[in-house]
Amino acid sequence: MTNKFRSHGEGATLVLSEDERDILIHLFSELAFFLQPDQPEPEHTDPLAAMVGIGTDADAPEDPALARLLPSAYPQDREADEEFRRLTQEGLRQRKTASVVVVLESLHTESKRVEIDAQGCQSWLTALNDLRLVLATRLGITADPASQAWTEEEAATDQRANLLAIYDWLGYLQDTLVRVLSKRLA
Amino acid sequence: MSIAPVELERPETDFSIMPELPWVTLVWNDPVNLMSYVAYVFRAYFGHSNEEADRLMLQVHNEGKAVVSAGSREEMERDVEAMHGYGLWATLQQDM
Repeated sequence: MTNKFRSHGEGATLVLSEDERDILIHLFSELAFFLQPDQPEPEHTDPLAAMVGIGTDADAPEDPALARLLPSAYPQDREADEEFRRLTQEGLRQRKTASVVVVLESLHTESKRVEIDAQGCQSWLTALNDLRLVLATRLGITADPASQAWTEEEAATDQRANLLAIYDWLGYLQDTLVRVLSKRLA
Repeated sequence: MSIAPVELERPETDFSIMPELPWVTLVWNDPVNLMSYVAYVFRAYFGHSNEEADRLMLQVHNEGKAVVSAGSREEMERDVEAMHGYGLWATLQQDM
């Protein structure tokens, strides 16, 4: 897997094999589903609040991967944390979901060459990061370097090895996109 | 709203310019976010130079966290929300 993002006008291109594209479509589809709230939001009484993404959801997610995507702003202050979540969490979910949708749309192409415009690059950048955050949580990757190490025996028998390979590949892809976008900041 | 006591022992502080400085945004280290990505976010969002972004990124990486911005509580909440949008692990607190 040696493909990478390449600068193309104000956007970027990415050449993918059919298998690679299928993997990405599969994983990003799961991410979009994962980002949906468990229960539909109750009917908003305030249409303005609904429009700007203020929800009624003030609870920290129980799933550790979702908790990593929607982290606590005030870990020491439950009341402030709930208020912050009530004001921002629904909007954050919506923006993350919107980025994943942009990525999925760009992947649904007949061509092996995925073309992404400037705005799409930002969506890819954050969606790739969110996907890696979820995979890392599932893989149990922590700050401890030993969490990323497997013996050869484990690697041969453990399907986590496949997921770890995909995780590493996504990190490589993201890094090439960061490089493309960093050059434009100067 | 800041409820920090006014520091009378520091009369040189101009509170008309810095009315609510005791809040800060912290970004915490995690093993997932790429170093290149964290530095990119600091440049793209805060407008830092390459050198300053790298310095902050390395501080997060080596010391476990770094203060990336300071200001009013409302401003810090905006920064934290933006960092969460990028997938960085950010919190805010009063700088003590």
